[in-house]
Amino acid sequence: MIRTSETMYKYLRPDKEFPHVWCPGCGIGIVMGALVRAIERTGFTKDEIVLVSGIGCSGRMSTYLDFNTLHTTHGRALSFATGIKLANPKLNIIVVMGDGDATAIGGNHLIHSCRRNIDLTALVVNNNIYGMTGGQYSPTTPMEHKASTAQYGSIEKPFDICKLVEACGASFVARSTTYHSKMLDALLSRGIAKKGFSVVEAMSQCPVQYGRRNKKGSPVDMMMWYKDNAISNPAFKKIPPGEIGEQFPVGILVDLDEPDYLERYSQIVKNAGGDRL
Amino acid sequence: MKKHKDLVLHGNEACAMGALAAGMRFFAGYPITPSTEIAEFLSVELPKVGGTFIQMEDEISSMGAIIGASLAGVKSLTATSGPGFSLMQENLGYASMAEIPCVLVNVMRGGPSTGMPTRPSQGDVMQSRWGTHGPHPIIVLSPQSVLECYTLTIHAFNLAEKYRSPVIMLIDGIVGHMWENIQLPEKIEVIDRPEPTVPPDWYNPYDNLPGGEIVPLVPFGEGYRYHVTGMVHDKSGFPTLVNEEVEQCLDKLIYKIKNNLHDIIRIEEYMLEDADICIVAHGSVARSAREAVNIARSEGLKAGMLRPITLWPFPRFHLENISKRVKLFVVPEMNYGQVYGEVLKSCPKRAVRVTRVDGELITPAQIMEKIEGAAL
Amino acid sequence: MKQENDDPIHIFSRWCKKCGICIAICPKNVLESGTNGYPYAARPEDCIMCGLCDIHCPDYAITVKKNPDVKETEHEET
Repeated sequence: MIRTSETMYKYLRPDKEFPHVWCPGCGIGIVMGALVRAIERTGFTKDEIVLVSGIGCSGRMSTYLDFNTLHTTHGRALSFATGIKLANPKLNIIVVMGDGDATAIGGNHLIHSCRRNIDLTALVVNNNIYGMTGGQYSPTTPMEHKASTAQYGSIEKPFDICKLVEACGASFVARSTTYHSKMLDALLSRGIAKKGFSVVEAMSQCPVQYGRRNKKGSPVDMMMWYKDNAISNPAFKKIPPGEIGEQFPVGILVDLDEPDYLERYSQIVKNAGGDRL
Repeated sequence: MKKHKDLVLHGNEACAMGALAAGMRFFAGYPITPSTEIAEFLSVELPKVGGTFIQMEDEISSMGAIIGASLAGVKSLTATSGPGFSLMQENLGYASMAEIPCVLVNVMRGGPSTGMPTRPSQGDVMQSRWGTHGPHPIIVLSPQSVLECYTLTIHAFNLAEKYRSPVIMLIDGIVGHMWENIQLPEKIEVIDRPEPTVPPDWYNPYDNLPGGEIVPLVPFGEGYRYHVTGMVHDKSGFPTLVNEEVEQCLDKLIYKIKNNLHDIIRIEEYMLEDADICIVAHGSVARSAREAVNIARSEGLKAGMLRPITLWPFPRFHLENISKRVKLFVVPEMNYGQVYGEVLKSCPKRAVRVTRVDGELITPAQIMEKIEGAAL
Repeated sequence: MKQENDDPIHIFSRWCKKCGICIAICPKNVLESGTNGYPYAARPEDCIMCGLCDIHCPDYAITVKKNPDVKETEHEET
C-alpha cells in the first residue's frame, strides 16, 4: 500500500495541474505545505477557511488549495479580506502575500490592518525579490544585492517586516523560514487560532530570480543560510547589537492579548441597539 | 433615521437612505468632498441595523473591502468623488471581471485632479465608462433630484444583484448637496442575492448558462468552495489562456449587459412627441434643460428633452429613434462634451453642445441661447 | 500474497523537480540522487521516518510511512 501524506493531498484541489507552477527548489511550496498542516491542526473545516492571496508567485497559492479562495489585485489582499471578515466574522481568513505585495504596493493596507487589529492571519512569504515579474528588487532586497532593476546593487534600506508590523500594532508577530518548516506550521496554527491581526513572516528562498543573481548557490545552500543565521528569539536578544551581522530572530516575536476590531465594533452595534434585530 | 414619509434632506443623505432601504449592510469609504456626508450618515445608521461601517485607509482599500463583503454575502457600498474614483478604478475593474455585485457612488466635483472640491461638475462621465482598463461592461445611473438619489440607489443595488455587476451612481455635486422636500415611496422593490441553483460540487460560479441566465453568486462559507480571481477565467473560475475560453469569458461579461438593455436602460422623455429640437441632459443640468424646454415652447419653438437616467450603457437606441423626427440635438453638460460625443455617435443629425466648466450650473438661458442661435 | 513494500519512503517522480532539498535535509543521509537525477532511498534501513523530507519537499513528491511510535507533537515554541 503506497503511503500518502495524509495532510497535503486532502487539501490540494484534485483538478489542478501538478507539479505546481513554482520553480524547482522555490520555497513557496514548502510554505504552502506548512500552511496546510497548520490549518488542519486548527480543526477548522474547509468551508470555514477563506484563503485570500495577492498577485505574485505566492499569489498562485489560492488556486491550489481547496478552500474558499480569492485571488485579489496586487497589494490589496488585506483590504478584500477585511471586507470578508467584517461581513462574516465566522469565516477564518488567511491572507497570503509576497514581500512586495505586502510591504510595497500593499504597505498602506498592511500597517492599517495591524493598527485595527482585525482578526486575520497575514502570511508574508518573504523571498527578497519580485519573482514572478522577473527579479526586480523589493522593499526587502538587502542593500547592495542585485536584481533586474538593481544591476548596480540595491541602494535602499530593506524593511524588517516583523519590526514594522510590531510597531504598527499587530498583536501576534512571528517569523520562520523554509528550513524551519516544522516551526513555521506551529507558528501558523498559533497565528490562525489567535484572535486579532497575526503576521507570520516566512523567509523563503527564490533560487532563480534572487539566488542566481546574487550567487547564493543552490536552493539547498539558501536554506542552509537560513539554518545558520536564524536565531531563536530569546537567544537573539542576548546577542550584543554590534555582533548581529546577518543573523535574525525567529519564533514568536510578539504575542499580545488585545480586543480585535470586531470585538470593539460589536460593542458599537450594541450601544446603537443594532444587535436586537 | 427620520421615520415619517415627508422629509427634507440632501442628495447624499437620500442616497445613503436608499442604500439602507435596498438592504445594504456594509459600507467602506474614505473621506472626500463632496461625498463625505454619505459616510458620516452611514457611520451612525449602520450600527443601528446591525450593519458594518468602516473607514478604510484609502479609496483603493475601500473598493477592495466592499468586494470582500459582497463575496461574503452582504450588500455593500462605497462613496467617493473624482480623485477617489480614480484610485478605485483597478478594483472596480476587478468587481466587473469577477462579477461581484456592489455599488459605487461618485459625487462629481470640479476636475481634473484636485480641481474644485466644493464645486460641481459632470466631468467623470467618460471615466465612469472607461476609467478602468480593458474591455468591460458597466452600469452607471445619474439622478437629477434628491428623491432619485433615494430611488435610483435602490435600483442600483437591484441591478447589481440581478446582473452580478458593480453599479455606479454618478451624482453631480449639486444633486449631492442640494436639499429638497421629498416623500419616500410607500412600496419599493428590493432584489436580493438569488439562491444557488445547483448543489456545491456541480457549482461553476462563471458558467455560461443557456439564455444568458446569470449564475447566482453563492457567498463564501456556505459550502460552495470556489475560486475568484481577476484573471481571465474559465467557467469554474480558474485562470485560463485557452483562446475560446478567454473569448467566452469576456463575451459573457459584455453580453450579460448588452442582452438586457431593455431592463437596464431608463430614460425620461419630456415633450418629445412633436419636438424638432431635442435637448439631451442628465443630472442637475436636466433641471435647467426642462426649464429651457418650457421657455422654448412659450416662444413657439418645439423643443423637448431626453434625459438619460442610465448613462451607461448609453441609450443609443432611443436617440436613434428620436433623431428620425428631430432636426437638432442640443447637449448641455458641465464638461467639454462627453455625453455630446455619444450623441454624435448615435445620430448623424446636427448636434450642438453647451459646455460649462467654471463650477456653476448651466442655466436655462444658456441653453436657450444655443437653441435660438442654431435657428433652423 | 503481494509482498508488503517495507520501504518507508515513496517518491512521486512526476511531481519531483530534482531540487535536492530532501537529500540535504535528511538527518540520516538516507537519500541520494540517482543516475536519472531523481532522489532515491540509498540506505532505507537508516530511515527513522521523521518526515523531515516530507515537510521540506516543495512539491509534495515524497511521502514517508507514519512512524508508529512517534506521536504528532505540537512544536513547543519558546
